[in-house]
Amino acid sequence: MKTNREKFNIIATSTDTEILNEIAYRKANRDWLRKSNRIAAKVLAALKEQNMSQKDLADKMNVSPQYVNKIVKGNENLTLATITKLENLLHIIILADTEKEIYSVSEPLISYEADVKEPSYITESYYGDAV
Amino acid sequence: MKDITSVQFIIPNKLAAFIYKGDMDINILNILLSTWRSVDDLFQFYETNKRIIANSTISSIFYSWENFSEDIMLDLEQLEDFIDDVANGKVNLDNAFHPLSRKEENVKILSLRKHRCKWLRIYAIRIDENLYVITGGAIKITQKMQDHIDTRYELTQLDYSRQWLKDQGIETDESFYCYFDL
Repeated sequence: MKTNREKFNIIATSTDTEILNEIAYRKANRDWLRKSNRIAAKVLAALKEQNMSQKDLADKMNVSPQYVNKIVKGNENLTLATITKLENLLHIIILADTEKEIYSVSEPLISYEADVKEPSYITESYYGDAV
Repeated sequence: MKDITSVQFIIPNKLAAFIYKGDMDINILNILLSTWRSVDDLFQFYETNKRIIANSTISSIFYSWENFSEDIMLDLEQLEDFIDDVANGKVNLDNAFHPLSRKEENVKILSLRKHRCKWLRIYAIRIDENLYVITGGAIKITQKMQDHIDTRYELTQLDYSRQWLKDQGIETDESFYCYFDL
């Protein structure tokens, strides 16, 4: 008499190789995929808040709606140009360094001629009590 | 409920998944992974279910869409690592899948040990030692499976799948199994 395993091996006739290949790819690229995922989450929240459709955003970015759909799926390796476009059009901050850049250009925190003191954002705990 | 058309191995002799009618020959695990990897799809789910999601978490007021999206992403990474470990022989499925039980239904969804919510579930039937077939999966946002349309559907699919296996001469035990049990 056949065991369950033997009977099952008769009815399961094929193997899906795609899943393991995709997992290997995602594990190898996990760092940027996480960032892409977080960007998609921010973009979707901003679209809802501003009552904009993906088509509206595509028009403003001058790209196809299919490309915007790829962005909001969170699996796209975005260029700096695309990220900056998203920040400007949706008025959101995606790259944290953008803020620093604004301050350093318009209001320098450190004078190189005077005694150099560490700016407050370095001497004070940036995250407060957060662990 | 969807009719079964065939069964496909994900990892030969260990893990398989059903292919259902209307799914264009793509097995259910592949479909679930694709859906959960799409932030856009998760956002639609969140918008439809945000009141239930808020009630499922202890710090409901502070639990935002971004928190939800982040937790699902981490669940998904854990699931991908798990499948990879099974493929590499590092995990025995009998230790990873747990019987669906009252325990699952009565615990708070928030996993205190991990300090985050764990939402994703994979449902399966045990065929033999270290051999399981996946029937489906869900984002579980209510304590009882009967309390949400998606998980209620999964229970029906589990029942139907067990009967289908029985019709093929495969008698399984009474339990249904779940990955990401708490």
